[in-house]
Amino acid sequence: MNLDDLENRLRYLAPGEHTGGHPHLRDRVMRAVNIELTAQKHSTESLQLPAWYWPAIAAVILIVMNLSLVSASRDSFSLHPMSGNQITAEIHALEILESQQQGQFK
Amino acid sequence: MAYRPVNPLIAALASGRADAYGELYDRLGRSLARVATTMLKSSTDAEDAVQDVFVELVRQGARLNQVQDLDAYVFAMLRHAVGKRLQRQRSEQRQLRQVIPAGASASDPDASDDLAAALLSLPADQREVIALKIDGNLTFAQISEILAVSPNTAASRYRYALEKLRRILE
Repeated sequence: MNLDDLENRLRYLAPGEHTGGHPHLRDRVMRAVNIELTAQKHSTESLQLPAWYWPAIAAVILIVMNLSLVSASRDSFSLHPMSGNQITAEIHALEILESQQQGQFK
Repeated sequence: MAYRPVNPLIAALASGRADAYGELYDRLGRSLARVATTMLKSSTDAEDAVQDVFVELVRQGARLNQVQDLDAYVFAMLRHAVGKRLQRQRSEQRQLRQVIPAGASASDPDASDDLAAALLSLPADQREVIALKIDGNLTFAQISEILAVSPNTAASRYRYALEKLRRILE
C-alpha cells in the first residue's frame, strides 16, 4: 500500500468509529455556548452601574471631606481646653513674673 | 503597525453572537470531533473536549480580535483540551489497573477495523499530527503553529507516522 492510498483510507474511516459521527454534538455545543453567553451577559449587566452612580459617589466623598475639614479646624481651637482654675493660675503666674521683672529694674 | 483586515467571523465571535458560534461549528465542528476522537480514543471524551473548546471561545470574548488564523487557534485550543482529558484518562487507567488485573482490559469499542486499530496504536504525538492533517484538514503551516514546531518538522513527523502506520498494517 502506498502512502496516498493510506491517506485516503484514513480520510474515509467509517463514521462513528474513528471519524466521530456526532449528529447531536452541534445541539449540545450550541446549548453550552448559549448558557455561557447568557451567564456572561448577566454578569456584565450586574456590573453595569446607573449613570448617576459615579457623580453621586463623588458628591458624597466631597461632602465627607468638607465635613471632616470643618471638624478638624474646629478641633484645632479646642485641642487643649483650659479650665477656669487653670486660667486663673496662668494669670497669677504671669502677675508674679511681671512683678519680679519690675523688681529687677527698680 | 501593518494593517490587518478583520475577519468578520472573528469579530462576530468576539462580540458574543451565538449565530457566529453556530457558523464556526458548521465549519470546524466535525473536524474538531474527528481529531479529538482520534486523539482521545473515545467519542464521549472527544465530544466533551469539543464542547470545552467552544465554551472557552465564548470566555475569550473580545480577546478573539487578536487572533490571526482562526482555524489554527481553535485547533490549538482543542489540543489543549485534549491534553487535559488525556491526563485524566491516564490517571483513571492507573486507578483501573489497580482494580482489574493486567491482560483483562476491555477491548476499545472504537477500534473496529485494522486501520482504526493501527491508528490508535500509534504514539500520541504521531496520532496527533495525523489527526490534525487528515481529520482537521489543516496545512503543515497551521499544524506547525499548533505544535510549536517548524513546518518541515510537522511534515516529516506526519510522513514518519504514515510510514509507521503502513508497517503496522503490513
